[in-house]
Amino acid sequence: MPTLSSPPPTPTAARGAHDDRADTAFTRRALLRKAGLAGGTVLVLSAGGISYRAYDNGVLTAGDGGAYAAWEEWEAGSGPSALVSAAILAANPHDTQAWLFRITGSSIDLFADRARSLGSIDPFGRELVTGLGCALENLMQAAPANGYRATLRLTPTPSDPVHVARVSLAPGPRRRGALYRAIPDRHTARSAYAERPVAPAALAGMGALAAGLPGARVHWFDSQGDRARIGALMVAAARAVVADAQQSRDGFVWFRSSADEIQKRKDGLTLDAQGLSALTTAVAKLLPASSRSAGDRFWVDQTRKTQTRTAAAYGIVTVPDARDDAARLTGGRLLERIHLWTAANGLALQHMNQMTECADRELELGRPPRFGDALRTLIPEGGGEPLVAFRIGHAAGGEGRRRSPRRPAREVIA
Amino acid sequence: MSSRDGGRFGAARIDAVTAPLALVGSALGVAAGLLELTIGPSIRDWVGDKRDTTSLGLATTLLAAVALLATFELRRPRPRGEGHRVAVAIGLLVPALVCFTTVGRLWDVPGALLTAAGALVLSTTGREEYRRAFDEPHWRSGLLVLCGSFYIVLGATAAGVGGALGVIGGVLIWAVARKAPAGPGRRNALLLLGVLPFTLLTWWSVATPLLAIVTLLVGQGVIRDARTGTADSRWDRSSQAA
Repeated sequence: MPTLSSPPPTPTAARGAHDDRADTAFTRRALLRKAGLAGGTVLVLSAGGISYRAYDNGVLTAGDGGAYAAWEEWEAGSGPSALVSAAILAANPHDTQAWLFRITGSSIDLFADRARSLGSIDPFGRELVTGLGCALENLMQAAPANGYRATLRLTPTPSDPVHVARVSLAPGPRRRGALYRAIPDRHTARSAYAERPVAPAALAGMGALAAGLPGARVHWFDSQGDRARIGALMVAAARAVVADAQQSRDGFVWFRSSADEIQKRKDGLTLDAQGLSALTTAVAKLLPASSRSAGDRFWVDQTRKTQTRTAAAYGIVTVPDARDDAARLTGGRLLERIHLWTAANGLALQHMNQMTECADRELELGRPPRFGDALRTLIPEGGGEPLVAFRIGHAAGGEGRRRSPRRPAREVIA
Repeated sequence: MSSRDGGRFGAARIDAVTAPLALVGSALGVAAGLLELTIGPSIRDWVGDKRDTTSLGLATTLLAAVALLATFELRRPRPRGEGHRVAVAIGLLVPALVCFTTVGRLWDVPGALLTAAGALVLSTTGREEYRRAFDEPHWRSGLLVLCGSFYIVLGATAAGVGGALGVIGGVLIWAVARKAPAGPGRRNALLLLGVLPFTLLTWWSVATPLLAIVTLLVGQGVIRDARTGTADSRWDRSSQAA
């Protein structure tokens, strides 16, 4: 009887179909396995690339190595060179370290290294010389700590703006003051500050640091209205600086974007010192170095969203004549004393000089004095001329104050 | 004499030239590492201006020691097994190339010698040996060894406890790649022990969490390979017994 069912497949046909399916399955499985292996290889190589980038750009070793050794070894020396080791840890514009020292038997001479100028950012050397004043203050603080009685003579003249000071040394009683002890803890804090006012007594205490510094004063702006007004000026000035292509370029050349560059040059602005969180700093180091325009945008954003928004108070150091180098040196000494005082008393400070940078640039190019006038209106009649500005407050996180690179004393002693 | 025998004879002759090259290169490499460790800060121009010449010296010495080990393996009369020559070539080339990227001028001579030696070994390795060396389980183990090496390099550059955990973690990952501990449970535990402490301590670095994910993925593959291999060999034994 015939059946409707198909005849049973021959063993050969059955084996053939099975083999085809098996072959297809094998091929597909093999292909998937190969693809998985290739994908794994790509992943491992990518992880290797990221690991290498992390190693090469010092993600895990921020603030270490020869470029930062000066912060560790500052008290290791003896004699006059120990004073220079303290001086080089001073605040200075863009970490340009525009200083040179000469040590003779009983004196230390300080010279301006004008080749390290900020160019169009600081066309008249205001910040450069103020930074030298900061170094002088550290040196003067270090003198009694090392058993010297120091006598300072400011020597800049229009005919010789390079030799700016001579410190004569004589044996004296050994005394380590609070400001001296704060030297290795003084760092610029660019991060957000806590919403906490700075006590009026603290402001008064810092104002009193001007004692013995003829003509130098600090003016405080801690009311909400003043902070808003100065904050808006700071943001406008930051925008003006980045809009000026020359100023933007002159600032960018001092940005050190790789760990090797930091170790080689031992100066300049670094990602580590930008006050970013550890995570953000790591991401920024892993990514390719940012362009000038990206760096400019970042600075303006930080100024607007973080720095001016969280400033507890602004301070402006004034001197009788902000164009006079001797007055700038004296104003720089006051600025450094204030910064050391904040370090010794748990406060944070950030130098913010975009307003004076814009004012000087206006003067250089003969533009209407928009920022120059704004600065003058901030200071009461008879209060002197604005030299430099800064914000203070209580640092909100640990990432606020990070060390900046330094050329060791032996590299700056002529 | 067959062409294959002729190839082996040629390889032996070339090895007679390669081995001294590799020996001198790795010995100079070790010397470079020791120089970095001892007088590194005084010769920063020669060591790529590295911030931490101690870490660099340790890493250079370690990598040069790997190259030295590969040199001794090259001189071994009987190969250890499949992929022996490929492993030797990798042992010469990886230290040479890694140090080229970071050590500076001090590595120019040892790096050139090791690269030449590694290239000579590769050029005299047979196709069949390449095929065996790069089969799937070997490949996965090799990837895991690489991951362990990345841990060691990152650990060597990180300071303090974190750095030590990175180096130890890398060695533990190597042990998993070598299928040192018995049983998948122990291998998994060892893998986690190698990966997690350093990663947790440096989570913010981005690099170590990413590396941890990749290492765990590859590590699982290696552990599965080992388990399958064990199961297969058991099955083989039971089949033979039947």
